Amino acid sequence: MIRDITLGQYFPGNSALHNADPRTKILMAILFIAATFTASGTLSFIILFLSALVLFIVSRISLITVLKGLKPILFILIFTTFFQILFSRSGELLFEWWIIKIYDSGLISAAKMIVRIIVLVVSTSVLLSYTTSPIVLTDGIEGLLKPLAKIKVPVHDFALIMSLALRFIPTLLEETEKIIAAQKSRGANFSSGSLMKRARALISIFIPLLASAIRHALDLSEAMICRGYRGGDGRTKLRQMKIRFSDIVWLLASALMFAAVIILNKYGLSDLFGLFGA
Amino acid sequence: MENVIELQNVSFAYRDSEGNLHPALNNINLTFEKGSYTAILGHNGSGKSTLAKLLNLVITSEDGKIDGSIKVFGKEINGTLTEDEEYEIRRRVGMVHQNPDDQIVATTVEEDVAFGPENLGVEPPVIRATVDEALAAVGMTGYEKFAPHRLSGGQKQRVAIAGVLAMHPECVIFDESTAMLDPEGREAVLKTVDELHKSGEVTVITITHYMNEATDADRVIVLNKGEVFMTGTPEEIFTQVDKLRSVSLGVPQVTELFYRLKNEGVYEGKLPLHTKEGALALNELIKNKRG
Repeated sequence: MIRDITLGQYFPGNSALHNADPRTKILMAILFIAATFTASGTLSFIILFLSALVLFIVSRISLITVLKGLKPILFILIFTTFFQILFSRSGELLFEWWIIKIYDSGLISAAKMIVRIIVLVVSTSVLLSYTTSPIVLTDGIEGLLKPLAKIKVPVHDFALIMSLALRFIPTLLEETEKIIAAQKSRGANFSSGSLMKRARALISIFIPLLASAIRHALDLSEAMICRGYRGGDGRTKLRQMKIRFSDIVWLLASALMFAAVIILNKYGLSDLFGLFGA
Repeated sequence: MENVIELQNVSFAYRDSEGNLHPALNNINLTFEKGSYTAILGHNGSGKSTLAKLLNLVITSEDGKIDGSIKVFGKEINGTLTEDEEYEIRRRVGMVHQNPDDQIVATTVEEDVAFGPENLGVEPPVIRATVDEALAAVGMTGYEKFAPHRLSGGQKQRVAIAGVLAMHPECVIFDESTAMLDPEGREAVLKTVDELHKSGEVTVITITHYMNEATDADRVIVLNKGEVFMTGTPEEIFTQVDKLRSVSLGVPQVTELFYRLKNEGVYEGKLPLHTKEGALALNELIKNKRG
């Protein structure tokens, strides 16, 4: 049923990550993205992987959900792994058969690539999607970009447009269903004929939908004026964002993780063993 | 009694993109008393929505030519107003529109009700209290976290009313607010309107083409072709069945029934407006026939 659609992939909950400020989570996501792209040493990748694991455990999102989230990128994962392994031509030769030669460096860079992609997807989706509702995320973006308002960037307007778009997705979906039903009942055919014919049939959905969206926009703007809307200046908010002590801890921990990734890039796995040996 | 709104010789003509004028209202003289409940009736094109939109500055001199004097809370609004004055008028004269979907701006009920107070710059803790109060007034307590698309039409419209009440208006205009609702939703909204009026603090103006909704009002105004065609109490208006028909308006079903009975010579007496009143009269009639 169209009424039950979820916006984004938000799973309501009460974990430490759910309760963190959206601005904190956006900044954390940026740190994680930066860390995944700067990581190169084996140790850095281990740190990265463990950090993402911590996020996943704290969020109390089920493993199945996370795996489902990885499904769309499965193809890319397999594809890149395959090429990394087959076309690396340095290091120790581990296996040779016909034209296939597998070197240890190929295996290592494939493993790094896998960790990189998995950490990137898991950390950003846990932080920005699974534990943060779209509307709260919009608030967070607005909060972070607020300084830009000083140089006349219409931050509030963009945030409002975003939240109105989110608000109207279910309404427009419902209308789309009605339009499809109405056009079908007049003999429109969306499921047979040549590709061109089917594409043309879709116009009979898009045009009424567009017209209705414009009508909504006109009525909505009138209603907003009636309710005293006059832009972001002097506006207060029911939902207040508050940076708490735990937010600072999260940010510091993520920053440390990023720093550790950069520092450890210089050292390999052997250095770690050397450290213990000394 | 204090007058909330006074209209004197008000005429209005829409201006189209080519600058041509299309008259919508012609020489309207009306007053609305504080705390009163007025129903404005008229079929499509009678100018009833235009009239309502003039009162809270949704239509201004930018949209067309306004003549005459419109005084809202003693302030002449047909003239130049500062932006602050305009917004203050809109706060004091709240408006509930026809389509509930086009009035709800937020993704949860409580945030939507908070939209008005937020625009006014009210402090967050006060907004919280205002929102709770407004939701209680329309009987929607407990739905704070609901997404609007999970509510029925009647519930959405009650949320929209709460959104208007949260701005503490002194007058609320319902612009065909029940037209898109199912009978159940309509019933719930009408009950809310009635309670609002009975609280005595708010002046209520409802614009409708459902005759049944006008029977509870203190006063009914019938508009036709941009002019005031009739004004009076619901009884005075709805007993003039022929006159209403001449401007293609009907009367409440029960009134229609007794009007026909009267024409047939079966019934004598005054035409009832409410179903219950009608049922009693019918009962009496049958008893008399038997006896």
